Amino acid sequence: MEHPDSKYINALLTNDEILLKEIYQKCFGKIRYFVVNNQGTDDDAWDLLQEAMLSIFYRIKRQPFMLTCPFDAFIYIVCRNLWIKELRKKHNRGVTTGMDEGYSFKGEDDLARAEECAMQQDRRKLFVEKLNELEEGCRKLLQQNWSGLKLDEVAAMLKISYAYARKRKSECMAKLVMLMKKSPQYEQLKW
Amino acid sequence: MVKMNTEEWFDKAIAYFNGMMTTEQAQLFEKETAASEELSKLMQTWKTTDEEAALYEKNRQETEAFIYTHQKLKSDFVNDDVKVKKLKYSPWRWVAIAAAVTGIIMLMKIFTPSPDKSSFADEHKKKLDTTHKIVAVDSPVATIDTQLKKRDIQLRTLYAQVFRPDEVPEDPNGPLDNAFFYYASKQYKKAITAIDSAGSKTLTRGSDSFTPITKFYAAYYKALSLLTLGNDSGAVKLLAQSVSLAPSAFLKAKAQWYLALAYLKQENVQTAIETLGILIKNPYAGGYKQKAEKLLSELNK
Repeated sequence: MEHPDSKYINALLTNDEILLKEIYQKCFGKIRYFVVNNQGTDDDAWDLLQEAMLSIFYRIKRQPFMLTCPFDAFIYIVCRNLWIKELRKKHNRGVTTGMDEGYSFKGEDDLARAEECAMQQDRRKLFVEKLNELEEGCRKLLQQNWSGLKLDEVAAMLKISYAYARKRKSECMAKLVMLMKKSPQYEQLKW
Repeated sequence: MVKMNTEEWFDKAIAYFNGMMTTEQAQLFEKETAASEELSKLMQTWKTTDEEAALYEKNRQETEAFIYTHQKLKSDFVNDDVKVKKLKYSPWRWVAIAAAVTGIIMLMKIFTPSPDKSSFADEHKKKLDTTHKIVAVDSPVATIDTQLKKRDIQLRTLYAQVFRPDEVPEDPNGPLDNAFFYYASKQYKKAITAIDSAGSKTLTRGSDSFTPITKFYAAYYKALSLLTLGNDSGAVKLLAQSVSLAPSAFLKAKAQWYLALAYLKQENVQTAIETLGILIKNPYAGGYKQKAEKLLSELNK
């Protein structure tokens, strides 16, 4: 059965300010408490919430799922996973679990999905970082292709042959994956 | 089969993804890749990155629109302390302060002997002095008020951090099942109506079919619903009732915990502290004991 909080997922997809505010009112206090008690600030908590919401957005776009727990609980778990990873990356320190962890999950699915969202967001961060390290020509070609243009359209725009565009795309992808592989975060990520 | 190193793999992968391999070459490449964990991960990274990057690019506008909204809402949440101040200390508080100051001045006038005869100049001077007194009195009041505001905000923040509506019982079947359904789906007004309706049904049947635990749950969940809806005094009344109705020490601790929170929400710190003190002494309070101790230490800071 669809959870009543599914409306918040739609709000995220449709950028519904009123419902977004409503869900933030439910979850932000808890997220802020957790972050502030774990070496973060209010601003960190707000940025973390944005990251979590984006990760959920992408996860739904990639593979829609049915929410089976309250949405605020789901966001909280995504935030917690993201923040724990962030702290490990920064300081390699443990995390204080707040007394506010009153959420309960009926099944493993929600927890697994929340973990998946956080993982996907980590992959995205690494990808964005390394994409920016590529030379401009490579970056442009890849981005245009990813934005929905077919390779022959990209080739026409860049005034290169289709065969060269295909070869170039593979080379650029190889460079990007190589850069990602060299990063210390690569080994911790699941692909 | 000779194992490829990663450099060789990248060379072959360019040809593979470029479509420059024959079917046999492609199959061999796939087989060689599958034989190594490291190369399989590289292959997966390549595919996932290509797939997810397309997702990011295609949704760029939507995500930018969301980020804009998110940042727009920031001032409502991250700087909410400022808003709380503005809302909480609007006209009524200032009217009360002004009334208090005026009262002090009036009392001073009554108890300060004045000369029988005074010239117009003396009267005028007196008025000026009074004006100065208002200014002088206003300053410490403002300081106290600032401290009060700060304390209020701390209490509100503390309450927001610790208050989580309790879950419904493990077995919600019985006369309150509708109420539990509404409560669990956060429809608190409907939950209250369902509790009231269940109560009136038992009365119309001519006998009180509520077991002690149902009586407790009716008061307890109605109180929690009221608290969530902002009817704090109603919640306090029913939670106090729940404490006395509780059929077990653990349920009593639950009710005491929320009663303390309701007092905290009402900014009745002393009673909240006393209630937490009683809860801590309950040997069957379970996890509520730790919660209470933690909250108590925050309140005693």
